[in-house]
Amino acid sequence: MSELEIPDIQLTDNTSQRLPCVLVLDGSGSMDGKPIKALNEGLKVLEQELKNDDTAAQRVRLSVLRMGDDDEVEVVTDWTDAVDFEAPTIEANGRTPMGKAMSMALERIEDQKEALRENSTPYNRPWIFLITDGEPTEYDWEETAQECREAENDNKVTIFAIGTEEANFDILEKFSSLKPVKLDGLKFKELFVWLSKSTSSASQAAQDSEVQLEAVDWGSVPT
Amino acid sequence: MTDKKNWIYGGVSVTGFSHEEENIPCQDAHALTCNKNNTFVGAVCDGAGSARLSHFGSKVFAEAVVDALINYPEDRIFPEEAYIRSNIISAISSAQEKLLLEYPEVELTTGENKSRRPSTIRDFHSTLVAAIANERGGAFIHVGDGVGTAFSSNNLMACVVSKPANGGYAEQTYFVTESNWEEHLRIKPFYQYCDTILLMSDGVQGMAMSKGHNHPFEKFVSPLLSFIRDNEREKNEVAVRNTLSKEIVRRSTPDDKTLVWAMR
Repeated sequence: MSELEIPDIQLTDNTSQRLPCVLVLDGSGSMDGKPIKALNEGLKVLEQELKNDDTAAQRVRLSVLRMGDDDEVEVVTDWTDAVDFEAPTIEANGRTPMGKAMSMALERIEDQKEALRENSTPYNRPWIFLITDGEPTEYDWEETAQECREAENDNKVTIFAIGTEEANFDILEKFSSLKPVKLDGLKFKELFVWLSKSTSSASQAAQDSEVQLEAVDWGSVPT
Repeated sequence: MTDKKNWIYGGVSVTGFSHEEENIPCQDAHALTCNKNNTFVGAVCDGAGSARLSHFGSKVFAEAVVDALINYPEDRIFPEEAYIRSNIISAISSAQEKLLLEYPEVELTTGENKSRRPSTIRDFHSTLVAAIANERGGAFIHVGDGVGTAFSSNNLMACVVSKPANGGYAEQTYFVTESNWEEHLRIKPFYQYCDTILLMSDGVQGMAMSKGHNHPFEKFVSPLLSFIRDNEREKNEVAVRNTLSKEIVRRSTPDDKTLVWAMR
């Protein structure tokens, strides 16, 4: 009887939950050269890692925002399931409208939640990843930083802030209740492998479970 | 319409892939029985991953709920929501006390060091979805996620469904061990003729139910019921266990999986 199974049964997940995740990426002029190249290579690694992970491919839902140009925020990837995600190429020029970008990320998260609810699709608490080599270049970023922390306190989102060595960590700290992490060198590939594994774990989180994140091997918390 | 045909029933709780890999016991549990009056009672409990003793909690709560309902007085209105509610509240309260008496301590492991601390009711966090049914109708009893559904096997769309409630995000839910759990206790009576009852934990609901949990998913449920109808309980339980343990299920969920069925 050990080989006995129900014949012809379809074992698919019809109500698959989603983990909405927004990447807010720095495409300012200071990222030009090796940093932007490393970031773009990292995004390709992210695409492969997500697609190689059956659960993440089905459950993680991504949108990518680029901050740059004349304090502009561009949606370079609209909401897409990881299985269909194609790594965008981020260009480096212009400024870093971090407040505007984070405000847009919060807005897009709430819109996506509404769309998922309307579609009867359950979802995990969404994530925003802010990745930068600098600091905000607009004057009213503090207001948005406050909104970000309030959104976290209200359980609406989890925000991760990551900076290269040149980033202003005193400012990054204001966008999240979690400590910002300093990227070692240009370990974008390692960062995105970690991101893929972590979103996979988070998207499988069962009820009342704490999400166990992978150990960070690409950066450290500045003291 | 009344129908006194006997129930064919059974159930399995299968350890999830992630728990198997981490050597964690199955935190789902179920209990089920049928009395001489042909009233079926079943319960599925899903222990929380974060609660250290939830595998004990889920088992004790499932058994307590079945014990509380199986002696439903034959001369009483059926299903009477107020009666069911008060019986369940009393059964869960007693089960909570029993758990704290039987498992007074939790073992903690930090590196190579082991220590103990007194247990609290949060260590037994568990959801509940249960059903009582006979020829007069039935009721679902529900706290948190999981699904209960009752239907006629010739029309899956005309079903009664007790849907999961998790209070927002998929990683959250309600437990019978929370201080305000009675606020989240849902009793859903039904009076229509149903020849099939299914109870399932959240590890199964994505496969056995349609999107939005609006009705049973035909391509899962029809082959399942055809098999169950033609076979004995032991064989049914082996086949369902093997099916829910298949590698392909890993894509749907790494979670523990429980399915309880009753057909007539």
